[in-house]
Amino acid sequence: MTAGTTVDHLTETYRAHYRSLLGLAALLLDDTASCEDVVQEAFIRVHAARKRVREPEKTLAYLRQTVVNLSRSALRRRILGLKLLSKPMPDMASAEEGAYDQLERDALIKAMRGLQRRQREVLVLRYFADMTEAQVAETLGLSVGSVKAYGSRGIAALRVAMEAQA
Amino acid sequence: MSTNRPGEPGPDGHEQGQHGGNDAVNGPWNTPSEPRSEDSAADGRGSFDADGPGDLGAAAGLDADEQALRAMMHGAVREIRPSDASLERLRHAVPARRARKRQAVVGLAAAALLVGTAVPTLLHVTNSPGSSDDHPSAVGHTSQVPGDSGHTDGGKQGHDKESPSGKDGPKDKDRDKGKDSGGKGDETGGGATAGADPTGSEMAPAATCGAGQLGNAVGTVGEPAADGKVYGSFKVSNVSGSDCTVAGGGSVTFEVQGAAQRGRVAMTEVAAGNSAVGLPVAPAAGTVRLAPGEAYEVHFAWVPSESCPTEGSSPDPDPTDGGTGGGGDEPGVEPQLVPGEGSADGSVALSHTAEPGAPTAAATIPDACAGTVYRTGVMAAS
Repeated sequence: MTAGTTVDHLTETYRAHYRSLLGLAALLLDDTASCEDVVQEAFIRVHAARKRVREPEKTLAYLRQTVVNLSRSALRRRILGLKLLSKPMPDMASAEEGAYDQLERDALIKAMRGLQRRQREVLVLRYFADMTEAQVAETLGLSVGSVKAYGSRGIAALRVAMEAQA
Repeated sequence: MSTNRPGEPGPDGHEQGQHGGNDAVNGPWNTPSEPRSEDSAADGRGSFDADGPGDLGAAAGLDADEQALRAMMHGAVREIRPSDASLERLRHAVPARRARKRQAVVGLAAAALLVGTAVPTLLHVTNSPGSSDDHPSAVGHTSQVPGDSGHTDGGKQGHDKESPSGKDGPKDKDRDKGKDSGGKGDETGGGATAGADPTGSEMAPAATCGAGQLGNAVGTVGEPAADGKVYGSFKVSNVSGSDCTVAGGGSVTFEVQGAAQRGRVAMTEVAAGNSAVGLPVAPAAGTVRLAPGEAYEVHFAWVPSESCPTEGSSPDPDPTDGGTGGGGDEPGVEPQLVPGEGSADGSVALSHTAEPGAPTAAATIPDACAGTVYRTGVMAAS
Protein backbone atom coordinates (compact mmCIF):
# COMPACT_ATOMS: atom_id res chain seq x y z
CA MET A 1 0.00 0.00 0.00
CA THR A 2 2.66 2.41 1.03
CA ALA A 3 4.83 1.31 -1.82
CA GLY A 4 1.97 1.86 -4.21
CA THR A 5 1.30 5.38 -3.11
CA THR A 6 4.92 6.35 -3.18
CA VAL A 7 5.40 4.93 -6.62
CA ASP A 8 2.44 6.95 -7.75
CA HIS A 9 3.92 9.98 -6.16
CA LEU A 10 7.20 9.26 -7.86
CA THR A 11 5.57 8.87 -11.22
CA GLU A 12 3.53 11.95 -10.70
CA THR A 13 6.52 14.04 -9.71
CA TYR A 14 8.49 12.60 -12.54
CA ARG A 15 5.89 13.59 -15.06
CA ALA A 16 5.39 16.99 -13.64
CA HIS A 17 8.94 18.04 -12.94
CA TYR A 18 11.62 15.73 -14.27
CA ARG A 19 12.12 17.46 -17.54
CA SER A 20 12.14 20.93 -16.15
CA LEU A 21 14.65 19.81 -13.56
CA LEU A 22 16.81 18.49 -16.37
CA GLY A 23 16.69 21.97 -17.79
CA LEU A 24 17.56 23.43 -14.44
CA ALA A 25 20.55 21.13 -14.17
CA ALA A 26 21.60 21.87 -17.73
CA LEU A 27 21.64 25.58 -17.00
CA LEU A 28 23.52 25.16 -13.75
CA LEU A 29 26.06 22.57 -14.80
CA ASP A 30 29.08 22.97 -16.97
CA ASP A 31 28.97 19.36 -17.88
CA THR A 32 25.80 18.60 -19.73
CA ALA A 33 26.55 14.91 -19.63
CA SER A 34 25.96 14.97 -15.89
CA CYS A 35 22.50 16.54 -16.02
CA GLU A 36 20.62 13.33 -16.01
CA ASP A 37 22.79 11.90 -13.25
CA VAL A 38 22.21 14.94 -11.10
CA VAL A 39 18.46 14.91 -11.59
CA GLN A 40 18.27 11.18 -11.01
CA GLU A 41 20.18 11.52 -7.80
CA ALA A 42 17.97 14.38 -6.67
CA PHE A 43 14.85 12.31 -7.31
CA ILE A 44 16.29 9.36 -5.47
CA ARG A 45 17.34 11.42 -2.49
CA VAL A 46 14.09 13.27 -2.15
CA HIS A 47 11.90 10.23 -2.68
CA ALA A 48 13.95 7.99 -0.44
CA ALA A 49 13.35 10.36 2.45
CA ARG A 50 9.94 9.46 3.75
CA LYS A 51 9.60 12.63 5.70
CA ARG A 52 9.86 14.61 2.54
CA VAL A 53 7.51 12.47 0.57
CA ARG A 54 4.85 13.09 3.18
CA GLU A 55 4.70 16.67 2.07
CA PRO A 56 4.03 16.40 -1.63
CA GLU A 57 3.46 20.10 -1.94
CA LYS A 58 7.06 20.67 -1.03
CA THR A 59 8.48 18.04 -3.31
CA LEU A 60 9.33 20.43 -6.09
CA ALA A 61 11.08 22.79 -3.71
CA TYR A 62 13.12 19.91 -2.30
CA LEU A 63 13.96 18.67 -5.76
CA ARG A 64 15.12 22.05 -6.95
CA GLN A 65 17.15 22.57 -3.84
CA THR A 66 18.80 19.20 -4.25
CA VAL A 67 19.56 19.79 -7.91
CA VAL A 68 21.16 23.12 -7.01
CA ASN A 69 23.26 21.50 -4.31
CA LEU A 70 24.33 18.60 -6.45
CA SER A 71 25.13 20.87 -9.35
CA ARG A 72 27.22 22.92 -7.07
CA SER A 73 29.33 20.08 -5.81
CA ALA A 74 29.68 18.83 -9.35
CA LEU A 75 30.81 22.30 -10.35
CA ARG A 76 33.30 22.43 -7.56
CA ARG A 77 34.80 19.17 -8.59
CA ARG A 78 35.35 20.60 -12.00
CA ILE A 79 36.89 23.88 -11.06
CA LEU A 80 40.38 22.51 -11.22
CA GLY A 81 39.78 20.88 -14.55
CA LEU A 82 38.24 24.00 -16.01
CA LYS A 83 41.12 26.16 -15.01
CA LEU A 84 43.43 23.87 -16.88
CA LEU A 85 41.32 24.04 -19.98
CA SER A 86 41.74 26.96 -22.27
CA LYS A 87 38.91 29.47 -22.14
CA PRO A 88 37.02 28.57 -25.27
CA MET A 89 35.37 25.21 -24.84
CA PRO A 90 36.75 22.67 -27.23
CA ASP A 91 34.20 22.13 -29.92
CA MET A 92 32.27 19.11 -28.86
CA ALA A 93 31.86 17.81 -32.35
CA SER A 94 31.87 14.22 -31.27
CA ALA A 95 28.32 13.09 -31.55
CA GLU A 96 26.59 12.93 -28.27
CA GLU A 97 22.94 13.29 -28.10
CA GLY A 98 21.76 15.96 -30.42
CA ALA A 99 20.00 17.95 -27.74
CA TYR A 100 23.06 18.19 -25.59
CA ASP A 101 25.17 19.07 -28.60
CA GLN A 102 22.83 21.84 -29.37
CA LEU A 103 23.01 22.98 -25.80
CA GLU A 104 26.77 23.15 -26.01
CA ARG A 105 26.49 25.48 -28.94
CA ASP A 106 23.85 27.68 -27.44
CA ALA A 107 25.07 31.24 -27.10
CA LEU A 108 23.33 31.76 -23.80
CA ILE A 109 24.77 28.60 -22.32
CA LYS A 110 28.24 29.63 -23.37
CA ALA A 111 27.80 33.03 -21.82
CA MET A 112 26.37 31.58 -18.63
CA ARG A 113 29.48 29.53 -18.13
CA GLY A 114 31.44 32.69 -17.69
CA LEU A 115 29.29 33.90 -14.82
CA GLN A 116 30.09 33.55 -11.17
CA ARG A 117 28.38 30.56 -9.66
CA ARG A 118 26.09 32.65 -7.49
CA GLN A 119 25.07 34.89 -10.34
CA ARG A 120 24.28 31.91 -12.46
CA GLU A 121 22.27 30.23 -9.74
CA VAL A 122 20.27 33.34 -9.06
CA LEU A 123 19.50 33.92 -12.71
CA VAL A 124 18.52 30.34 -13.34
CA LEU A 125 16.27 30.05 -10.32
CA ARG A 126 14.76 33.43 -10.85
CA TYR A 127 14.13 33.30 -14.56
CA PHE A 128 14.08 29.66 -15.51
CA ALA A 129 12.44 28.28 -12.40
CA ASP A 130 10.33 31.40 -12.04
CA MET A 131 10.99 31.71 -8.36
CA THR A 132 10.38 34.96 -6.60
CA GLU A 133 13.39 36.76 -5.20
CA ALA A 134 12.39 35.59 -1.74
CA GLN A 135 12.24 31.97 -2.89
CA VAL A 136 15.61 32.25 -4.55
CA ALA A 137 17.03 33.74 -1.39
CA GLU A 138 15.68 30.88 0.66
CA THR A 139 16.92 28.24 -1.72
CA LEU A 140 20.41 29.65 -1.91
CA GLY A 141 20.64 30.78 1.66
CA LEU A 142 21.13 34.39 0.69
CA SER A 143 19.43 37.61 1.65
CA VAL A 144 16.93 39.09 -0.75
CA GLY A 145 19.30 42.01 -1.20
CA SER A 146 22.07 39.70 -2.30
CA VAL A 147 19.72 37.98 -4.71
CA LYS A 148 18.89 41.31 -6.28
CA ALA A 149 22.54 42.23 -6.51
CA TYR A 150 23.64 38.91 -7.98
CA GLY A 151 20.74 39.05 -10.38
CA SER A 152 21.43 42.51 -11.76
CA ARG A 153 25.17 41.95 -11.97
CA GLY A 154 24.57 38.60 -13.57
CA ILE A 155 22.35 40.07 -16.24
CA ALA A 156 24.90 42.77 -16.93
CA ALA A 157 27.71 40.24 -17.21
CA LEU A 158 25.61 38.05 -19.42
CA ARG A 159 24.83 40.91 -21.73
CA VAL A 160 28.49 41.76 -22.10
CA ALA A 161 29.39 38.14 -22.74
CA MET A 162 26.71 37.67 -25.34
CA GLU A 163 27.47 40.89 -27.15
CA ALA A 164 31.09 39.82 -27.26
CA GLN A 165 30.06 36.58 -28.87
CA ALA A 166 27.92 38.17 -31.51
CA MET B 1 3.19 0.98 -13.12
CA SER B 2 3.08 0.53 -16.83
CA THR B 3 0.58 3.09 -17.85
CA ASN B 4 3.04 5.79 -18.60
CA ARG B 5 5.88 5.92 -21.01
CA PRO B 6 9.19 6.67 -19.39
CA GLY B 7 10.32 9.05 -22.05
CA GLU B 8 7.38 11.33 -21.80
CA PRO B 9 7.52 13.52 -18.81
CA GLY B 10 4.15 15.00 -18.96
CA PRO B 11 0.63 14.48 -20.04
CA ASP B 12 1.01 17.68 -21.86
CA GLY B 13 -0.49 17.87 -25.24
CA HIS B 14 0.96 21.20 -26.08
CA GLU B 15 4.39 21.17 -27.53
CA GLN B 16 6.53 24.16 -27.46
CA GLY B 17 7.65 26.01 -30.49
CA GLN B 18 5.63 29.10 -30.05
CA HIS B 19 8.79 31.01 -29.62
CA GLY B 20 11.85 31.03 -31.69
CA GLY B 21 14.25 29.24 -29.41
CA ASN B 22 17.75 29.60 -30.68
CA ASP B 23 16.80 31.85 -33.48
CA ALA B 24 15.46 34.29 -31.04
CA VAL B 25 18.76 34.28 -29.26
CA ASN B 26 20.62 35.77 -32.15
CA GLY B 27 19.79 39.26 -31.18
CA PRO B 28 20.54 39.08 -27.54
CA TRP B 29 18.15 41.00 -25.40
CA ASN B 30 16.23 42.16 -28.39
CA THR B 31 13.98 39.19 -28.35
CA PRO B 32 10.48 40.46 -28.25
CA SER B 33 9.02 39.11 -25.12
CA GLU B 34 6.00 37.09 -25.73
CA PRO B 35 2.84 38.65 -24.66
CA ARG B 36 1.37 36.03 -22.41
CA SER B 37 -1.66 35.93 -20.38
CA GLU B 38 -1.33 35.23 -16.72
CA ASP B 39 -1.66 31.57 -16.16
CA SER B 40 -4.04 31.02 -13.38
CA ALA B 41 -2.52 27.64 -12.67
CA ALA B 42 0.63 29.19 -11.35
CA ASP B 43 0.72 28.25 -7.73
CA GLY B 44 3.12 30.65 -6.25
CA ARG B 45 5.86 28.06 -6.07
CA GLY B 46 6.26 28.85 -9.71
CA SER B 47 5.69 25.45 -11.16
CA PHE B 48 7.89 25.90 -14.12
CA ASP B 49 6.73 23.77 -16.91
CA ALA B 50 9.18 22.06 -19.14
CA ASP B 51 7.35 23.30 -22.11
CA GLY B 52 8.77 26.70 -22.21
CA PRO B 53 7.94 29.95 -20.60
CA GLY B 54 4.33 29.21 -20.27
CA ASP B 55 3.38 30.13 -16.77
CA LEU B 56 4.34 33.59 -16.01
CA GLY B 57 3.52 33.26 -12.35
CA ALA B 58 6.48 34.76 -10.58
CA ALA B 59 7.73 36.05 -13.88
CA ALA B 60 5.02 38.62 -14.07
CA GLY B 61 6.34 42.09 -13.77
CA LEU B 62 9.68 41.33 -15.34
CA ASP B 63 11.21 43.96 -17.51
CA ALA B 64 12.05 43.34 -21.13
CA ASP B 65 15.59 42.16 -20.41
CA GLU B 66 14.41 39.74 -17.84
CA GLN B 67 11.71 38.37 -20.03
CA ALA B 68 14.13 37.95 -22.88
CA LEU B 69 16.52 36.09 -20.64
CA ARG B 70 13.71 33.91 -19.45
CA ALA B 71 12.75 33.04 -22.99
CA MET B 72 16.35 32.30 -23.91
CA MET B 73 16.82 30.00 -20.97
CA HIS B 74 13.77 28.01 -21.81
CA GLY B 75 14.77 27.97 -25.44
CA ALA B 76 18.24 26.72 -24.66
CA VAL B 77 17.07 23.63 -22.81
CA ARG B 78 13.82 22.92 -24.53
CA GLU B 79 15.22 20.07 -26.57
CA ILE B 80 16.47 18.25 -23.53
CA ARG B 81 14.47 15.15 -22.81
CA PRO B 82 14.83 12.49 -20.20
CA SER B 83 16.57 9.39 -21.40
CA ASP B 84 14.33 6.46 -22.13
CA ALA B 85 14.84 4.48 -18.99
CA SER B 86 14.96 7.29 -16.51
CA LEU B 87 11.63 6.65 -14.81
CA GLU B 88 12.27 2.93 -14.74
CA ARG B 89 15.62 3.53 -13.13
CA LEU B 90 14.08 5.72 -10.49
CA ARG B 91 11.49 3.13 -9.71
CA HIS B 92 14.20 0.68 -8.85
CA ALA B 93 16.61 3.09 -7.30
CA VAL B 94 14.24 4.76 -4.85
CA PRO B 95 13.19 1.60 -3.01
CA ALA B 96 16.78 0.42 -3.09
CA ARG B 97 18.00 3.63 -1.53
CA ARG B 98 15.32 3.39 1.12
CA ALA B 99 16.30 -0.14 1.92
CA ARG B 100 19.88 0.92 2.21
CA LYS B 101 19.01 3.71 4.59
CA ARG B 102 16.89 1.35 6.63
CA GLN B 103 19.70 -1.11 6.69
CA ALA B 104 22.10 1.55 7.84
CA VAL B 105 19.84 2.25 10.78
CA VAL B 106 19.58 -1.43 11.61
CA GLY B 107 23.33 -1.74 11.27
CA LEU B 108 23.86 1.13 13.66
CA ALA B 109 21.53 -0.44 16.17
CA ALA B 110 23.34 -3.74 15.85
CA ALA B 111 26.66 -2.01 16.31
CA ALA B 112 25.41 -0.26 19.42
CA LEU B 113 24.15 -3.52 20.81
CA LEU B 114 27.44 -5.14 20.07
CA VAL B 115 29.38 -2.44 21.82
CA GLY B 116 27.11 -2.90 24.78
CA THR B 117 27.90 -6.58 25.00
CA ALA B 118 31.44 -6.69 23.74
CA VAL B 119 32.84 -3.98 25.94
CA PRO B 120 32.08 -5.74 29.22
CA THR B 121 33.47 -8.92 27.74
CA LEU B 122 36.65 -7.25 26.66
CA LEU B 123 37.11 -5.54 29.98
CA HIS B 124 36.59 -8.88 31.50
CA VAL B 125 39.28 -10.50 29.39
CA THR B 126 41.83 -7.87 30.10
CA ASN B 127 41.21 -8.18 33.77
CA SER B 128 41.39 -11.90 33.97
CA PRO B 129 44.97 -13.08 33.36
CA GLY B 130 46.26 -11.80 36.64
CA SER B 131 43.37 -13.10 38.56
CA SER B 132 43.43 -16.53 36.99
CA ASP B 133 47.05 -16.97 37.99
CA ASP B 134 46.27 -16.01 41.48
CA HIS B 135 43.31 -18.27 41.69
CA PRO B 136 43.87 -21.14 39.33
CA SER B 137 40.85 -23.04 40.38
CA ALA B 138 37.29 -21.98 40.29
CA VAL B 139 35.90 -20.66 43.48
CA GLY B 140 32.39 -21.90 43.72
CA HIS B 141 31.67 -20.33 40.44
CA THR B 142 28.72 -22.18 39.06
CA SER B 143 26.34 -20.78 41.55
CA GLN B 144 26.72 -17.38 39.98
CA VAL B 145 25.59 -18.48 36.56
CA PRO B 146 22.34 -20.23 37.05
CA GLY B 147 21.74 -20.73 33.38
CA ASP B 148 24.99 -22.52 32.90
CA SER B 149 24.58 -25.14 35.53
CA GLY B 150 25.13 -27.89 33.00
CA HIS B 151 28.64 -26.79 32.27
CA THR B 152 31.70 -28.08 33.95
CA ASP B 153 34.11 -25.70 35.48
CA GLY B 154 36.87 -26.41 33.01
CA GLY B 155 38.02 -22.90 32.72
CA LYS B 156 39.97 -23.27 29.50
CA GLN B 157 37.08 -24.79 27.62
CA GLY B 158 35.02 -21.72 27.71
CA HIS B 159 31.30 -21.34 27.62
CA ASP B 160 29.64 -21.93 24.37
CA LYS B 161 26.71 -19.89 25.31
CA GLU B 162 28.67 -16.79 25.87
CA SER B 163 28.48 -15.28 22.47
CA PRO B 164 28.33 -11.60 21.74
CA SER B 165 24.75 -11.67 20.69
CA GLY B 166 22.11 -9.44 22.07
CA LYS B 167 20.40 -12.15 24.02
CA ASP B 168 23.37 -12.91 26.14
CA GLY B 169 24.14 -9.37 26.98
CA PRO B 170 22.42 -9.21 30.34
CA LYS B 171 23.92 -12.51 31.33
CA ASP B 172 27.38 -11.18 30.68
CA LYS B 173 26.69 -8.37 32.99
CA ASP B 174 25.55 -10.74 35.64
CA ARG B 175 28.73 -12.64 35.32
CA ASP B 176 30.82 -9.58 35.60
CA LYS B 177 29.07 -8.67 38.74
CA GLY B 178 29.59 -12.16 39.99
CA LYS B 179 33.22 -12.03 39.25
CA ASP B 180 33.74 -8.77 40.97
CA SER B 181 32.09 -10.04 44.07
CA GLY B 182 33.93 -13.31 44.25
CA GLY B 183 34.30 -16.07 41.66
CA LYS B 184 37.09 -15.41 39.24
CA GLY B 185 39.28 -18.06 37.71
CA ASP B 186 36.80 -19.89 35.62
CA GLU B 187 35.66 -16.88 33.75
CA THR B 188 38.91 -16.60 31.89
CA GLY B 189 38.14 -19.21 29.34
CA GLY B 190 34.63 -18.11 28.78
CA GLY B 191 35.62 -14.54 28.27
CA ALA B 192 38.45 -15.32 25.93
CA THR B 193 36.45 -17.44 23.55
CA ALA B 194 33.44 -15.25 23.52
CA GLY B 195 34.66 -12.64 21.14
CA ALA B 196 36.20 -14.95 18.64
CA ASP B 197 33.69 -17.66 18.22
CA PRO B 198 30.01 -17.08 18.19
CA THR B 199 28.85 -20.61 18.05
CA GLY B 200 25.18 -20.07 17.47
CA SER B 201 24.09 -21.05 14.02
CA GLU B 202 22.02 -17.89 13.69
CA MET B 203 23.83 -14.83 12.47
CA ALA B 204 25.02 -13.12 15.53
CA PRO B 205 26.09 -9.60 14.68
CA ALA B 206 29.78 -9.48 13.96
CA ALA B 207 31.92 -6.55 14.87
CA THR B 208 32.56 -3.92 12.26
CA CYS B 209 35.78 -4.68 10.45
CA GLY B 210 38.60 -2.54 11.70
CA ALA B 211 41.41 -1.35 9.48
CA GLY B 212 43.69 -3.99 10.94
CA GLN B 213 41.29 -6.78 10.09
CA LEU B 214 41.23 -6.04 6.40
CA GLY B 215 44.04 -6.69 4.03
CA ASN B 216 45.11 -8.24 0.74
CA ALA B 217 43.56 -5.31 -1.05
CA VAL B 218 43.87 -5.68 -4.79
CA GLY B 219 42.42 -3.91 -7.77
CA THR B 220 41.83 -5.61 -11.09
CA VAL B 221 40.93 -4.10 -14.42
CA GLY B 222 39.47 -6.09 -17.28
CA GLU B 223 40.03 -5.70 -20.97
CA PRO B 224 38.21 -2.81 -22.61
CA ALA B 225 35.05 -3.85 -24.39
CA ALA B 226 34.38 -2.90 -27.97
CA ASP B 227 32.47 0.17 -26.91
CA GLY B 228 35.32 1.29 -24.70
CA LYS B 229 33.72 0.30 -21.44
CA VAL B 230 36.10 -1.14 -18.91
CA TYR B 231 35.03 -3.18 -15.95
CA GLY B 232 37.02 -3.96 -12.88
CA SER B 233 36.85 -4.43 -9.18
CA PHE B 234 38.58 -3.99 -5.90
CA LYS B 235 38.81 -6.91 -3.56
CA VAL B 236 39.58 -6.67 0.12
CA SER B 237 39.86 -9.65 2.45
CA ASN B 238 39.21 -10.22 6.08
CA VAL B 239 42.68 -11.21 7.24
CA SER B 240 41.75 -11.49 10.87
CA GLY B 241 40.72 -14.59 12.70
CA SER B 242 37.17 -13.57 13.40
CA ASP B 243 34.05 -12.59 11.55
CA CYS B 244 33.50 -8.97 10.94
CA THR B 245 31.10 -6.79 9.01
CA VAL B 246 32.01 -4.24 6.43
CA ALA B 247 29.48 -1.49 6.78
CA GLY B 248 29.79 1.11 4.11
CA GLY B 249 31.38 1.13 0.73
CA GLY B 250 34.53 2.95 1.66
CA SER B 251 35.77 5.49 -0.80
CA VAL B 252 36.72 5.30 -4.42
CA THR B 253 38.71 8.24 -5.70
CA PHE B 254 40.33 8.90 -9.01
CA GLU B 255 43.33 10.72 -10.37
CA VAL B 256 43.74 11.61 -13.98
CA GLN B 257 46.97 10.94 -15.74
CA GLY B 258 48.39 11.90 -19.10
CA ALA B 259 45.84 13.25 -21.52
CA ALA B 260 42.94 12.59 -19.19
CA GLN B 261 41.30 15.75 -17.94
CA ARG B 262 40.02 15.95 -14.45
CA GLY B 263 37.15 18.15 -15.47
CA ARG B 264 35.92 15.56 -17.89
CA VAL B 265 36.02 12.57 -15.66
CA ALA B 266 33.14 12.03 -13.27
CA MET B 267 32.58 9.51 -10.56
CA THR B 268 29.19 8.27 -9.53
CA GLU B 269 27.96 5.52 -7.28
CA VAL B 270 25.48 3.18 -8.81
CA ALA B 271 22.48 2.91 -6.56
CA ALA B 272 22.06 -0.43 -4.92
CA GLY B 273 19.82 -2.69 -6.92
CA ASN B 274 20.54 -0.79 -10.09
CA SER B 275 22.57 -2.38 -12.80
CA ALA B 276 22.34 0.47 -15.25
CA VAL B 277 25.82 0.08 -16.64
CA GLY B 278 25.94 -3.67 -16.39
CA LEU B 279 27.65 -3.78 -13.06
CA PRO B 280 26.79 -6.52 -10.62
CA VAL B 281 23.99 -5.50 -8.34
CA ALA B 282 25.12 -4.69 -4.84
CA PRO B 283 22.84 -5.87 -2.06
CA ALA B 284 20.66 -3.12 -0.81
CA ALA B 285 21.94 -3.79 2.68
CA GLY B 286 25.19 -2.01 2.00
CA THR B 287 26.96 -4.28 4.43
CA VAL B 288 28.81 -7.52 3.96
CA ARG B 289 29.71 -9.97 6.66
CA LEU B 290 33.08 -11.57 6.18
CA ALA B 291 34.26 -14.77 7.78
CA PRO B 292 38.02 -15.05 8.18
CA GLY B 293 39.56 -15.31 4.73
CA GLU B 294 36.49 -14.09 2.91
CA ALA B 295 36.62 -10.97 0.81
CA TYR B 296 34.31 -8.25 -0.34
CA GLU B 297 34.35 -6.54 -3.68
CA VAL B 298 33.57 -3.13 -5.01
CA HIS B 299 32.97 -3.19 -8.72
CA PHE B 300 33.47 -0.33 -11.07
CA ALA B 301 32.88 0.47 -14.68
CA TRP B 302 34.48 3.06 -16.88
CA VAL B 303 32.14 4.47 -19.48
CA PRO B 304 34.04 6.76 -21.80
CA SER B 305 32.30 9.78 -23.18
CA GLU B 306 35.03 10.43 -25.67
CA SER B 307 38.09 8.61 -26.79
CA CYS B 308 41.52 9.99 -26.10
CA PRO B 309 42.91 12.50 -28.56
CA THR B 310 45.18 10.81 -31.02
CA GLU B 311 48.47 12.52 -30.60
CA GLY B 312 50.39 9.64 -32.02
CA SER B 313 50.78 11.28 -35.40
CA SER B 314 51.75 14.70 -34.17
CA PRO B 315 55.41 15.42 -34.48
CA ASP B 316 57.28 15.52 -31.23
CA PRO B 317 59.94 17.97 -30.19
CA ASP B 318 62.46 15.95 -32.10
CA PRO B 319 63.99 18.71 -34.23
CA THR B 320 65.20 20.76 -31.32
CA ASP B 321 66.48 17.73 -29.55
CA GLY B 322 68.27 16.64 -32.66
CA GLY B 323 69.87 20.05 -32.91
CA THR B 324 71.18 20.11 -29.41
CA GLY B 325 71.95 16.47 -29.03
CA GLY B 326 73.45 15.81 -32.41
CA GLY B 327 72.29 12.75 -34.35
CA GLY B 328 68.63 11.93 -34.40
CA ASP B 329 69.32 8.34 -33.53
CA GLU B 330 71.12 9.15 -30.37
CA PRO B 331 69.83 7.29 -27.38
CA GLY B 332 69.21 10.62 -25.77
CA VAL B 333 66.22 11.14 -27.99
CA GLU B 334 64.25 8.26 -26.68
CA PRO B 335 63.36 9.65 -23.31
CA GLN B 336 61.75 12.54 -25.17
CA LEU B 337 59.58 10.23 -27.17
CA VAL B 338 58.30 8.25 -24.28
CA PRO B 339 56.50 11.03 -22.47
CA GLY B 340 55.19 12.28 -25.79
CA GLU B 341 53.45 9.04 -26.46
CA GLY B 342 52.38 8.67 -22.89
CA SER B 343 50.45 11.87 -22.84
CA ALA B 344 48.52 10.86 -25.91
CA ASP B 345 46.82 8.09 -24.05
CA GLY B 346 45.69 9.24 -20.71
CA SER B 347 44.57 7.01 -17.96
CA VAL B 348 42.47 7.21 -14.86
CA ALA B 349 43.92 5.83 -11.67
CA LEU B 350 41.34 4.62 -9.20
CA SER B 351 41.94 4.07 -5.59
CA HIS B 352 39.64 2.32 -3.16
CA THR B 353 40.02 2.75 0.56
CA ALA B 354 38.04 0.45 2.78
CA GLU B 355 35.52 1.98 5.13
CA PRO B 356 37.74 1.92 8.24
CA GLY B 357 40.36 3.99 6.40
CA ALA B 358 42.61 1.18 5.32
CA PRO B 359 43.65 -0.77 3.40
CA THR B 360 43.80 0.83 -0.02
CA ALA B 361 43.76 -0.84 -3.39
CA ALA B 362 44.62 0.75 -6.71
CA ALA B 363 43.57 0.08 -10.26
CA THR B 364 44.33 2.00 -13.42
CA ILE B 365 42.03 2.27 -16.38
CA PRO B 366 44.17 2.54 -19.46
CA ASP B 367 43.39 4.69 -22.44
CA ALA B 368 40.85 6.76 -20.56
CA CYS B 369 40.53 10.49 -21.04
CA ALA B 370 36.94 11.57 -20.57
CA GLY B 371 34.04 9.69 -19.14
CA THR B 372 32.36 8.45 -16.03
CA VAL B 373 33.42 5.99 -13.40
CA TYR B 374 30.51 4.06 -11.94
CA ARG B 375 31.09 2.21 -8.73
CA THR B 376 28.99 -0.16 -6.70
CA GLY B 377 28.72 -0.59 -2.99
CA VAL B 378 30.29 -3.51 -1.22
CA MET B 379 29.25 -7.04 -2.04
CA ALA B 380 30.54 -10.44 -1.11
CA ALA B 381 33.28 -11.60 -3.43
CA SER B 382 32.11 -14.32 -5.73
